Amino acid sequence: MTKHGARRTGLPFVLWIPGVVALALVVLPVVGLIVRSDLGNLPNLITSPGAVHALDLSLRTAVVATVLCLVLGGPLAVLLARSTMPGLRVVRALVLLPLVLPPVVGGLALLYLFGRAGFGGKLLYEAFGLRLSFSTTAVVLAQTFVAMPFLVVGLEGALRTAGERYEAVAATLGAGPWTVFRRVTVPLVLPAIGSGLVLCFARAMGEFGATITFAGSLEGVTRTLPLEVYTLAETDVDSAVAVSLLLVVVSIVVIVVARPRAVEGRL
Amino acid sequence: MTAVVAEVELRRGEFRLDVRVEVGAGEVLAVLGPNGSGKSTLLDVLAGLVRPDRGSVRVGDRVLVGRGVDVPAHRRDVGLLAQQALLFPHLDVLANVAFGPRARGVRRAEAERIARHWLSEVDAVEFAGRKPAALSGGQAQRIALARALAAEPRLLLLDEPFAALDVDVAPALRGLVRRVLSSGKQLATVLVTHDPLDALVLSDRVVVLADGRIVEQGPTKQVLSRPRTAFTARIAGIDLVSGVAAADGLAIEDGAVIHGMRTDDVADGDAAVAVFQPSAVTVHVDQPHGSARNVFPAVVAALEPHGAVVRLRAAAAPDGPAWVAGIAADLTPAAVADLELDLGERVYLAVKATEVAVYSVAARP
Repeated sequence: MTKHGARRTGLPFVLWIPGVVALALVVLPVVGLIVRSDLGNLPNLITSPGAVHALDLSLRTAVVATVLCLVLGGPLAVLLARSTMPGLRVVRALVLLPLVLPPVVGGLALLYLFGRAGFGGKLLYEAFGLRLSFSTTAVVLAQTFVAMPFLVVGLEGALRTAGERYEAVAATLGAGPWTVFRRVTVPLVLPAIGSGLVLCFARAMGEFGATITFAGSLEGVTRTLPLEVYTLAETDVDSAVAVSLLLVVVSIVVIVVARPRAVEGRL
Repeated sequence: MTAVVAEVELRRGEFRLDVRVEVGAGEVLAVLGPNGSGKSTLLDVLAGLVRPDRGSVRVGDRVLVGRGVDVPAHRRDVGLLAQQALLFPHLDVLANVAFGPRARGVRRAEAERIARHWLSEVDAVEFAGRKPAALSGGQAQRIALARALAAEPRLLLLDEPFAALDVDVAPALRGLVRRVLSSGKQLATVLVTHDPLDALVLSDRVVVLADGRIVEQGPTKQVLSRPRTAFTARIAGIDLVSGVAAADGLAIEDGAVIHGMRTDDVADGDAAVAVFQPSAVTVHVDQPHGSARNVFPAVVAALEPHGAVVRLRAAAAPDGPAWVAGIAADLTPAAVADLELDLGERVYLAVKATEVAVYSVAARP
């Protein structure tokens, strides 16, 4: 380990100025939020029924969305990393779409697929009597839509880095494809799965644009924490700031406790 | 009994591999060749990691590759030990070695008993509880060998197994592999290497591969001590000049003669080669006048470390014979310093006739 004193070549001084500005840009707004908040009244504000409902809903939907990301996105990442199918590059680019698409546009797209008039929505309604839009399920779908790329991209990268050599060796030892996947592939990328899940969860917790377009803002049903902040910001600024601080705390917990690899620069 | 017969044809862009190899039960076949000669591709085909365009692979009475047959790697009973140990980093040593038996469906306790047996075969029982990250390269490679053998392969493939090891670790491991392989009576082994020493220590027979084709094959000692092509000689680290057998040695195209000791089976006019060791070649800055019968001008093309000595590679001098190109001479570092040798410098190479063996390479019925 190289700790203090290991570095002998100097850093160019000019890097310090933009570096400090960048850090300030990240940290100062949060400080501003804390300064603006009414700390004495904070406990009351964040235990208001609206805030508690929103927190409960956010946690539940984000957990389900994260599980969906793993169950659906994990296999997709394996296929992208290992399959030799033609046209894979196009698929890989498509997976990135939710990452660069404005979430509002994603929400609209979901609405016109699963809404009353959309062909997916019609199909579901006629077959099962299901209506997705403006339901908690819609919240989960919107969150999964925007969070999935974080898992797929990170996991695919890890699979490519791990390479197929271990898998080839396992095969020569007599392990069939399923055994290789279970006993070699998955354990090798376990850290990447962990950090991918943390990022998915954080992204799902913070989801706003796609949710409000596709699921609306119904208290207790689709109004997650970010939507609660948005609603309160127009009527009750103190509460909005308090709930925002709650989201800041959740984010810091995600970073500190789970410590995703991306945070340590090793994604 | 022939345990393995493989005929492989495969094309990858410009590269074409077209070989036929046979390995007997209990036999070690070495495949020698430079990088890019196709030896690793041949192993991948045998292991089932690459599918040949045409050909067949048979192990015992089982057809692994053939008309409409392509047995996947995990059902082949073909083990692989590569240059890197590739121990699964998330499993400890015992679990690594037990991986093969476990994959076959053996219960955990029995699989671990088998693993301990193979660990003791490679003198590595004390590492059973360690993670691969806590092993040295040589230790990891021993355990990788145990892991490959614990899966009970019918055919074992060794792909440059010592190339990544420190020079002082490789000999011990080479000896260990020799001991372990000689105790497996039924196991057929294919060893891919570019190091003639690996082949000499471990193998019974050798095939020499160049550009995807076999250029020479036969019993290891014979092929490496009496190469028939300059290519094999270079791999074996021997100097070889081809020409036609003449009264007192070997006549070369330009009319010059290399004086040497003719073996009995050579007749005048036969296609023949003159072979000598690089250590038998002396290097002079000025033209020597001594007992050495063979003296020829050359230019220093390369100086490279070769174990404890420095190997000089010659190129043809402007006024000298062309066949000198590629001839190697071994010198001590002190001699290189004394002679103040530099690249491009003109030198005279001398070899005593008694150090030169001339033998026939004519095809005989």
